[in-house]
Amino acid sequence: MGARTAHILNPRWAVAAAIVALALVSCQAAPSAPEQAKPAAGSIPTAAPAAKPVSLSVALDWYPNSDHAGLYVAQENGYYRGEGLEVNLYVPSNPEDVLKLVGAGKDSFGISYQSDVLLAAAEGIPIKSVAALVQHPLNSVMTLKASGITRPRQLEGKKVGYPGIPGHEALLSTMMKKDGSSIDRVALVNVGFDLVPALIGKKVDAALGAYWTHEAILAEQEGYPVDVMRVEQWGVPDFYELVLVANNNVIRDQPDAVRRFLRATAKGFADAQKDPSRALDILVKANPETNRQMEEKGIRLLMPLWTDGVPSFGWQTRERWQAYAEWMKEQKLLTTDVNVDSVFTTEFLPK
Amino acid sequence: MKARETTPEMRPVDTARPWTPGNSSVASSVRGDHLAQWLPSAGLVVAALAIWQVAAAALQVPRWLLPSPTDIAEAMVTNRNPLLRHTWVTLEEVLVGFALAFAVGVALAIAIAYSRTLERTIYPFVIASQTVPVVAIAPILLIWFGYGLLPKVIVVALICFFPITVNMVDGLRSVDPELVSLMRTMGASRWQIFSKAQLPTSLPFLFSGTKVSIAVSVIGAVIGEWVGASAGLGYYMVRSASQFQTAAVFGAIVVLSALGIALFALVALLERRALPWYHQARKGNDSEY
Repeated sequence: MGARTAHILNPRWAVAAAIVALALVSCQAAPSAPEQAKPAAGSIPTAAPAAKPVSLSVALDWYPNSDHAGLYVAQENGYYRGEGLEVNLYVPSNPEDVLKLVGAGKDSFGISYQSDVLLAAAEGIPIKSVAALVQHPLNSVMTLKASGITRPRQLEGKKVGYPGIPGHEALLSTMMKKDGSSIDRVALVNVGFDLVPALIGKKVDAALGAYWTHEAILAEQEGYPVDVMRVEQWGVPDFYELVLVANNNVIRDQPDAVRRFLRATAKGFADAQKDPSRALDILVKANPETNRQMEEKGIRLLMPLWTDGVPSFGWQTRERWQAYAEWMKEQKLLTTDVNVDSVFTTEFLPK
Repeated sequence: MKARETTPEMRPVDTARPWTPGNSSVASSVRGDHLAQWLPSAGLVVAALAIWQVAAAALQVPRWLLPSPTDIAEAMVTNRNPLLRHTWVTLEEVLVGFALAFAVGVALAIAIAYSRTLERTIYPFVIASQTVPVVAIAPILLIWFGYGLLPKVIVVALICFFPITVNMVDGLRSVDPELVSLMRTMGASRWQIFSKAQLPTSLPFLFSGTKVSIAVSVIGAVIGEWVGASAGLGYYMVRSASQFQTAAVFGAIVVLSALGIALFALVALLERRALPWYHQARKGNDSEY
């Protein structure tokens, strides 16, 4: 045994192995050079006939739910196909990686949060928001009705559970300050994403980071009526909870595909707004593990926010982005100035 | 330590020479050997880092995707205070969890080796405990035991006790049956057979199991922190990742690796000190070590 080991560790063997490895690498690299002349998968075949659909992937921010209803409706009703697109909707194994996946070009589109888009832009990740999916915050502070806590000040000396992400601390800090108190008087507990069990299990007195269109309904379904403090009602600038981002190369090289994708998506959301029950049928059909009972309520709370106060689906304004970036800087979430014009565009939205 | 004194008859004759840590000439030559042994490994690390650094610059890999070694080093220096603070928290979880795993693991091993009935009763549960996906049970432990130290300690212990138990059971059973018969004939009590024959025989096995479990203990702590913590390297990684600070995440990985290696080395050192006869014998048999 000892002799054999010595053999493998022999320097001559190591050199030989290295040469073989190099040869293998160069063999693999060689044929790929001519291939580059051909369009890579996902790019738009400008000269080719429209027969071959463009394939696009969309990395979702979380397990499929009402937030994604319009995308699934567009898929089911053939709106993407009608635009010559082959769209793959999927949840990355770690949904927090969406912006990195899109930035690295693994996915053409992704769904993420306005704050994350600004943070990613500050780190140089090449992405842009091309549409706002939800026009207002869904994030909130949720308390059990039985606790009687209905305003931030009442959280003094209480335990607040949250997913441990700095952005959430900034939300609560602003809310506490607005109500004449300070986040220093609150005990923050990182409970991961299991906000509802933490709250109804009475491990914490409030849950920060709960969507009032999702977790609040879940808690009530479990038999625990809750109260919700919406962040924008307590000093946080109104923001877009979810935005649709695209890779900058996709925007540059396939502007037409982006335009067609957004047109089909807008149609999907319009259909979902008209007939939410049918939208849920489609959502459940594509994702049988969906909590339909919860989504029935959720989608009805959510759907006005898809287009609330804006001329058309997906609309986003410079003022909102600027105000939010300034707030993030004030909260020390952002340490550099981000040029908001480079992080969003309305250019591709259907007119 | 006690084992050394209790089993002179088990020492191979050629290693009966008393082992002293202060034996300077021997110790220094051994240390020299060790340095030479680690050279290839250190060389590989340096070469890999150099290639990484050059490739990252040449291919212009963005730092949020794959930071270069110098980016990571820079992030570690910049964040040294939080990094140190979180390292202590993780280390505490690892040490407490490991201590619990060691105590429970050894106790279970003795119980299993002691009686067939106990073995049939306990062993299936010991094995079942390892089939539980830790990432699934960790969030539930948080809800049962709160968000403090305890759930992380339990996750560490759950991962760590198994190699200790399994190895020690094998060790206790590997005792020379003739030696046991001889001791019985000479009227040794069950306790004497256990403490003077079975236990010393099992120690190398116990150390093997301990080395496996100390190396994975760090993972347990990080899993526990990942799903819900307010401190620790796992928490630090989640936060850094949420702000796209990939270099900081890698920095935490470097610390975790160093922690794992240091703990492993510590156990290896303890093993050398506790079982000098065993190592002397191994040295004689196998020139590789």
